[in-house]
Amino acid sequence: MKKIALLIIFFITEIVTFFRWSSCWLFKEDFYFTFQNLSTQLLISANEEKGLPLLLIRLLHNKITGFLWGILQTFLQYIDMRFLYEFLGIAGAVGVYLGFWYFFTKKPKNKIFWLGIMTLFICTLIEMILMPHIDFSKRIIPLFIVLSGFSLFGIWEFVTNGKSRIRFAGIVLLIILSLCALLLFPHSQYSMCLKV
Amino acid sequence: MKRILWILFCSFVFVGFALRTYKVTTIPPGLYIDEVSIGINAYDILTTGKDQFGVPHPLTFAAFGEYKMPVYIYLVSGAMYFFGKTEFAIRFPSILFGSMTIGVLFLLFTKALEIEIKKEKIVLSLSSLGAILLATSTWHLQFSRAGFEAVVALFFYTCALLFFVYFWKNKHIFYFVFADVFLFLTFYTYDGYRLIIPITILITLLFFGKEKKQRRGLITSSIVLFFILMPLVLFTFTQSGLMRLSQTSAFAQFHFANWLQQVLADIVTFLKNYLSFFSLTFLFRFGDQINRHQVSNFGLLYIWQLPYVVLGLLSLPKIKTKIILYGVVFLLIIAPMAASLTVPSPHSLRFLMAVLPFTFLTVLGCREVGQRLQKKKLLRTLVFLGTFLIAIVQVGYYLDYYYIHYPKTAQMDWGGSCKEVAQNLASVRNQYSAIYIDSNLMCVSEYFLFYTPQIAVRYVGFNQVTKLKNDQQILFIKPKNKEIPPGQLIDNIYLQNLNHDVFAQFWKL
Repeated sequence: MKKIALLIIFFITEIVTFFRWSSCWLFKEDFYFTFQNLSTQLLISANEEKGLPLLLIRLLHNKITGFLWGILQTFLQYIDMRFLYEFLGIAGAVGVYLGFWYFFTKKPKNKIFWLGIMTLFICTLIEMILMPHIDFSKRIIPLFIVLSGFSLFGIWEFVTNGKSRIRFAGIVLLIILSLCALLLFPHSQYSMCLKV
Repeated sequence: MKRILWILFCSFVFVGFALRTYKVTTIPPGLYIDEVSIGINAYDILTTGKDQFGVPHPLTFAAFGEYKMPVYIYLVSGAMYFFGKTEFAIRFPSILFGSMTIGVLFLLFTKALEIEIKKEKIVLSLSSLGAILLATSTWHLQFSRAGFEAVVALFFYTCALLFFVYFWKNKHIFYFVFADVFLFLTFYTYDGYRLIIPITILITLLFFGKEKKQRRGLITSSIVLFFILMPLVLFTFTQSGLMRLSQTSAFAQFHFANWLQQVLADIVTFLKNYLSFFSLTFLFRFGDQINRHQVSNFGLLYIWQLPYVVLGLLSLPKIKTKIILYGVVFLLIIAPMAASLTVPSPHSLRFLMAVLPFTFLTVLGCREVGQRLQKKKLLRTLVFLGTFLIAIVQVGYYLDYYYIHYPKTAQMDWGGSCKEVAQNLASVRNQYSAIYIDSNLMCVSEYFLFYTPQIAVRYVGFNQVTKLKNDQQILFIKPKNKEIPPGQLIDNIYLQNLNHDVFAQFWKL
């Protein structure tokens, strides 16, 4: 019962943290991939290669590798620790990584979690490439659901395994610190998003 | 085994040395401000036995409102004895010890993995992979090509770890004493280890102290070490010692009226800073975005390492050898500890120690892939071949960016063209009776003290220049901006960037 109560409080902390993002209308530049940026970057890089054979320049700076590179690098932004502790709070960020840990180390794997991984990938892909013309706060709700799902799973596994008392106390401390962070630094999400 | 071990050791050190010395005096493009300060102090120590401020053979060197650790400066003094007062001499200890770190890491991995894995061939392949990774690491290469004390400190710390492993295997106190000597040297080399070394001593005592036979020796050795660290420990708590911390403290940014709020804010700040060191974009994409610390578009680790680091982490609990398991976890936990107290955070230089566990995790990840695909030999070959090709392409990219693009884009971060300004000044010096430098020019007086110590320069604001008496032949050096002094423009110093921007202008007043 205590553990379920902890999980509920944990989830409320995440919701409260997430609520702050309703004051944003777009993530900052690093969260998006654009072909325009890619072209500009390739142009600058190729110009700096004066004197090298054209074939080598094409090999080093081309749109195909640039695209794959850019997408992969942008994707990291959405599962980044710094983004997660602003998005879900400190406890939430730790929870997401615990969730990933238990998901990959536990056997057999649940199909729901594979679905979660796929949804996470699709949500971020849509966000970073298409930037749909729907309200930002609604657009990031699926992202919140998947990430908080992972964090809830991670926290649950964490407190139900091993020395559960110490782990329980650790999570309580993290929740307290997350709430403190919210109160003391209420506008910190603006380092990652643009205000309405 | 022994012979091949030493052949491999020498090969890796040689490869590392070659990568670190190629064009090292021109790339990074110029000496950064701390390197110049180190150079001035080292030369003074070599020629007069005193530092820049006349203190004979000091234990800490005053520079730019802080105090530098002594080991690197004395090493540069030694290098200047052989190579003269040159950029190469300033960077030589970093290059040498950086290259040696690769060899020591190879031995460390070999000796540690020998306990875990019985097959010699696998041990050698894995530790060779670790050495190659460190030799070509964007993170380690970037710092070991310039005069950063952290590189030498990392070498000493890696040596200490190697001797701890030897001690674990042979149970001879002699190895523990050696490890302590290297911890002592680490402590006196780089600021960032002032917190890490005492914790390391404590943890090693707890870890190795379980065996009764060794306990007395361990405690004696640690007490002796603690006493020889004392001068610097005591200095740390003086006003001068705390100066660096107060300049970079992460806790000085936010002030709350209520003490409880302040304490909580400090804890939250520390925790956020600490977690930021494990940020994926910091590690694999952006780095800390300080141009001097990285080539833009490259993180601290290559992106191909990401799946292997993750696999390495996941396979960590399978390790049976305690010293490896606890060692890696300890290094991962402790590495960002001191750096989390400071800003900017994350900071790749203060986190350099973590290159050891991340390299090990990559190696462990490769081993895991090898084991999981043991029965699917074709797939295993394809996976490793694919990874190899991607890694080669990425290293190629990195070298292209480092040698071709970096000198053009990062010149301002490495002291701009202050060397050219000083050299030009030296060639025209005799034509003028006074030399003034605009205080907005991004060349602090240390650059002139290093390159042209015989020429006295005075720093002035632009408004003061217009008031100077014109009966003298005055040379005024300023950055290019809208302000035009009353005189004649005689020379421009250009940057190497695409636009060939003007860095400094020489005006005859």
